[in-house]
Amino acid sequence: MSDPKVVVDTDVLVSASILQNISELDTEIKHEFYDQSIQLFSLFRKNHSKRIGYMVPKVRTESFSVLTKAVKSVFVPSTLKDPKRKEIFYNDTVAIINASDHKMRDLMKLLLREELDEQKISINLKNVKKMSVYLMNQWNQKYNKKGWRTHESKKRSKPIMKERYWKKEQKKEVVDTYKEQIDRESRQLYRFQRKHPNLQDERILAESITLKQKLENNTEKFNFMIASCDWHA
Amino acid sequence: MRQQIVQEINDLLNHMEDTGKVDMSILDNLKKLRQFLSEIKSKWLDHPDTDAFYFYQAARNVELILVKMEDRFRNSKVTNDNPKIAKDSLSLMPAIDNILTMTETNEISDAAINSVLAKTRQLRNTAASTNLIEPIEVDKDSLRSHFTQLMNNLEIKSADKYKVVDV
Repeated sequence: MSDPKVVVDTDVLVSASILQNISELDTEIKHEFYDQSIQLFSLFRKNHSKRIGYMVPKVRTESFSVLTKAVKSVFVPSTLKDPKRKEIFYNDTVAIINASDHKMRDLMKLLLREELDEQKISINLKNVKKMSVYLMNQWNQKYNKKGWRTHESKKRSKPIMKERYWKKEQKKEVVDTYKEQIDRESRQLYRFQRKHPNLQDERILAESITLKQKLENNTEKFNFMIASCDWHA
Repeated sequence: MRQQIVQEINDLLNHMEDTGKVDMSILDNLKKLRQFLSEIKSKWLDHPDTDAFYFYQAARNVELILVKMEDRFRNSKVTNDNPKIAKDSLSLMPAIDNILTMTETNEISDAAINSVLAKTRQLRNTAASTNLIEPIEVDKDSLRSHFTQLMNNLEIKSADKYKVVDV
């Protein structure tokens, strides 16, 4: 098994560039993704020759726009009316976006890029969309219904329930375990249908699959991961 | 007006590239373009929609690049930047013209926002590859002051997601 390959999602890149900037200003920052994102890029930096970190084309093209929208949503309030004050505010916000953009360019240098075949991306995009519809149907037609969930946990436990030599409490434990498993799957599907991936997310996934297929042709077996802060990822 | 200024700048840059000599009269034209940019920025500042920020940001980025361009022209003799600065500036002019055309309109839509952001990114990419982007080493004190002012105004210190504590 060769070294793992990690594709970095846009949100990881953007949050790392903003947070790295703040941390260099001699301020202590607490953020839910700070440690993870900084450690991830530190790993890429230390193991550059191992070719671990990758970036797909969509992440490269959308990152500036995502960065701008993220900073703007925090720093530009709708209550600001006075043009003089607004100008100071807008210039400060542009300065922060540009400083973060510089950091983002540095972080991007740690990530590898591969030319990807557009036709193969299109095929994978169709499959990603099909998978999305399938998962939505799983929620709507099955997991959303309590009766189905109860029936399913009994169905999965059936071979054990019939087993003569198992004690009653052992059987109960198995049924409970399957119930928990179904609840976990159910929660994942609920999150998926609540925060459904947009076209950009689907495109990033399709490009990541295409990248994986390309790397599989060139190298021996490896673990392939996507680093993302998204709930539906 | 904008087309005329851009045309004059393009002509001067082409002439400088052909002759290999820097013509300092370009500083007047760049100043005129910055004055024109101030009008565009004022228009977007007066706009009530917060999405006007994206168009202001595009114009502000052009302004920052023009400041850097002026600096390089002013110091071109000392830094032996002649005539490279003319060539570098010329490569940026199409992207600058694109942004000026977009920011001159009054239309705010999702398509227009995505387009102006894409053009701003393209401008910054070209500027970064030609050493015409604002300095990478941002003044830490000034950046810290930007952050502090914005965060104080927005009471971000009390927000969970971006808890910043002075040390």
